[in-house]
Amino acid sequence: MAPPDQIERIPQGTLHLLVLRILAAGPMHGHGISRRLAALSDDWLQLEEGSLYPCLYRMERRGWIRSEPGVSENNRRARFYSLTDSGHKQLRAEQEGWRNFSSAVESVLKGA
Amino acid sequence: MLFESLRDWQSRRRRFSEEWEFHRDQMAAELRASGLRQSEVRKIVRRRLGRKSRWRRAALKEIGGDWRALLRCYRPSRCPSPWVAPAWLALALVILFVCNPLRWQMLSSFISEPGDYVPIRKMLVIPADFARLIWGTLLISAAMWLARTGRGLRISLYALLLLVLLAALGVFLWIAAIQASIAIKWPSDLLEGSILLGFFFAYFWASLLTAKRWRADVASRCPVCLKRLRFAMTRGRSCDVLVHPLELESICLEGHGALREDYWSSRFQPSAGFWKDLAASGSE
Repeated sequence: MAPPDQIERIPQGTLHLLVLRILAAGPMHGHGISRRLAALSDDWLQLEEGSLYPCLYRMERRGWIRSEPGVSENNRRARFYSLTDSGHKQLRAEQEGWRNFSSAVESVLKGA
Repeated sequence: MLFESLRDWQSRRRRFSEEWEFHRDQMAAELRASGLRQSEVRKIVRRRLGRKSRWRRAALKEIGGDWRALLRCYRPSRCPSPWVAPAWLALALVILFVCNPLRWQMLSSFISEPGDYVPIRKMLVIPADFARLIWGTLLISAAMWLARTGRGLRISLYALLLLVLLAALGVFLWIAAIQASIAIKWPSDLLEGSILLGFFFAYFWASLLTAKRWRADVASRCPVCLKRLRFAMTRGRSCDVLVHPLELESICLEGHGALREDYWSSRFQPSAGFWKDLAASGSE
């Protein structure tokens, strides 16, 4: 787990990509997404978890994800989000964009 | 039908609250399981989840559960229900009446017979004959037009209800405007007279435009379900006036028929349900 002074806030605009990538593994509810995000980044990346919902609703409105009511692991009603075909396409496009961006930054850092 | 949009909007608002509560409870349960005290759990949950009011606003805006979205649902041009426009007009009448400090004067002016009123400065009854004359004429003309077009009893009654509400709102607005002009201390009689004269003309034109819009609205509704006809498309040829004249065809989405309008006339052709015919031909 990352020490508190080394926790990074998620850069603006990358939340869509991270959520799409997490949902590519399978349907998940909002709390599950934030837990998975923390686990995958070894608690380095943290978001104010309330911000997840406007992001999820926006992605649903754009047709990248769909939501269905279901029952959670402890028998509570929850809404599960999953990726649509359009979401898979968007994930590929955003991954490509991110790789190009990070390699561009990397090459600038190496050259400086 | 009128409440469907409201129910839908409420369910969108509930959805956010339910998801938030689920998220908060799950997080709290996990923290409690790791041995933290209740007060610490509450503090951490608040810090990690953020303020609900802040994210609620953004989330409801995205999901269409905010007040603006509710207003959008009830815009008469957007809402499929034909009862939205009468409901808005009735609401406007109630608001105009309730918010008027001289509401009883407004009411007595509205129902008083021509000639009942005493001079305007005594502030007892406001003369509304001009407004009544305009709206009365429009109502009679509208009834004659509806009888001539013969589109059915249901649409005619609906159209008359709409126009009666419009007329009542028009007369109420007239009385409110005259009440306001009496309450204002005008610097000169000339200014007051000029503004009142301008108002008379503006009122006249606004009433005619409203009636024109009402007529267009009624003409574009299905006489069976009273919903707006959609998917307008042009048929015919502009150069072939005799055999295939240019006409505009709009259909009822419930399958009750199609309206065909050309330069000279407009006629509604009822159908026994063309969606059924389409479904039957598709399944063959």
